[in-house]
Amino acid sequence: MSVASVTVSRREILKPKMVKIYVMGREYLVPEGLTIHKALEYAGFRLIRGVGCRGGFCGACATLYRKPGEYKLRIALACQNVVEDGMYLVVLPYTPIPRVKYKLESLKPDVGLVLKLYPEIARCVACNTCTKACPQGLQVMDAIQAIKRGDLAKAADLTFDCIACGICSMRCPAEIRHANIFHLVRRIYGKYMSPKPRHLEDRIKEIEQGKYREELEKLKQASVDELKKLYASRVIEPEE
Amino acid sequence: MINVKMLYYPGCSVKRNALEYEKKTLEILSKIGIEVYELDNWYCCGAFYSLAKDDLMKHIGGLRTLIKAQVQARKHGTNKLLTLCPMCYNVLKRVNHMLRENPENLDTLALFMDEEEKYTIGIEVLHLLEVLRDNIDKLKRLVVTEVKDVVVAPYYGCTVLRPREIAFDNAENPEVMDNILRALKIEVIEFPFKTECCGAYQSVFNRKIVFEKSGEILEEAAVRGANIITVICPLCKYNLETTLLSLGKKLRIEIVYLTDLLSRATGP
Repeated sequence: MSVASVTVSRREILKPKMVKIYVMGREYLVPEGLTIHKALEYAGFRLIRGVGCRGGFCGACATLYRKPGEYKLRIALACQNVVEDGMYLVVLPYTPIPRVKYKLESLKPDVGLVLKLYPEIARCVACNTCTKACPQGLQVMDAIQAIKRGDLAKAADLTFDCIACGICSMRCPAEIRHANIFHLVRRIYGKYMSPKPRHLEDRIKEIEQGKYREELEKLKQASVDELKKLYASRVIEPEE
Repeated sequence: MINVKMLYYPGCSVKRNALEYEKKTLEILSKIGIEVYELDNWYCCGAFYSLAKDDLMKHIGGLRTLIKAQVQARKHGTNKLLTLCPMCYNVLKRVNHMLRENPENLDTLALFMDEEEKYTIGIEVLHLLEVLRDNIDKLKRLVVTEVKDVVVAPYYGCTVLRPREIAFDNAENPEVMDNILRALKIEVIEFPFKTECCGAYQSVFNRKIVFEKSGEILEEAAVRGANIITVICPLCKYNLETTLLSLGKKLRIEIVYLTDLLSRATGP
């Protein structure tokens, strides 16, 4: 083999390795290493639904996929996970989990209340499908079970990182509306159970007593240039 | 005293509505040398044992708890799993029994529960009454005060005695609780309604049925001169008590957990 015959063009070297993905059943060739969102854009999709912060926080890009030769239904966030060869996927535009209306101020913080607003939690059979479906790696079933036995503080703690993507609710055989239930539990915990922060109460009192009124008035009168100058010279974390 | 170790599955009702039952029970058990380890992660047993033969999904809660017990059995060196609530006892013991009799069901469930280790059917599910029965001599030695002016109608409910393959006493005329009380020199009446249904979950759907069923039990106990009905089940207690309240002050009967009465005899 002569040296000349293995000459590869620069373009050839920079050419990314491509992988085959199937979006809603149709095949696309996309560069390896892209997130699912970027791969979709590469393939020509304009993202309107199933997209949000693109930082892994908002839970808008719940994605279901299977890999070749596997029966397992896997889950991902389209903004956080990269494409794999042979992936069969769909990004869910929306998960229908309407919220039950309640007034937080007039709720009584006990487990009977959660059961009353969301009676389906009594249907949990402890199958753990929800936990397996959580892109945040939360112990979803443990949280539901904690609510069932009245430990709302534990449930609030276990679900602190829930981004409400809704995948667990789509997979749950008991049709539990997890994200909303967890939201309710955290609100109950925050309002009725967690210790009250003193500094917050003090600050609210200060505001009510008008401590900052004068300063705010001054800002309202200030010109754009003055505001810009103030903004640039602001102290973010004043050292005591 | 040689201590016996046991794992403990409290169940949702005990943790929600019957904390006093749990407290008194654990106190007594510790006095008779039983070390109890609550499972650090447990799940609702399902409350009802599903009777449909192919409805394996409903047994997952029970099996998951048995697997948790299996993991912690290795840590604590005991395969005994104690329950206080008769419904938990019923479900867990029946699931255990069903898996032993039908190993193919266990295989099917294990395939689905691929995140857990496989269950080897080594856990023995026990109810409090069995444990007290087997330690009756130790209990007798604990008695410090004679419980006076008390006439007890022991009430068993249904789920610790049925069906036969999980029962530890005669379903028609059980005597475990009678014998425990008598051993502590507490007066017990002959009570033919000791296994009558209290109305169970009809408290959710149709309270009239509960009032009717529990009312019969209460009246029969009163007619026979009892002033206390001992129970072992949070739901029985709830039903008997709400019925008692609905009757006003007609009957002078107190509904207490068995271990509550025992602790009156064995002192603080």
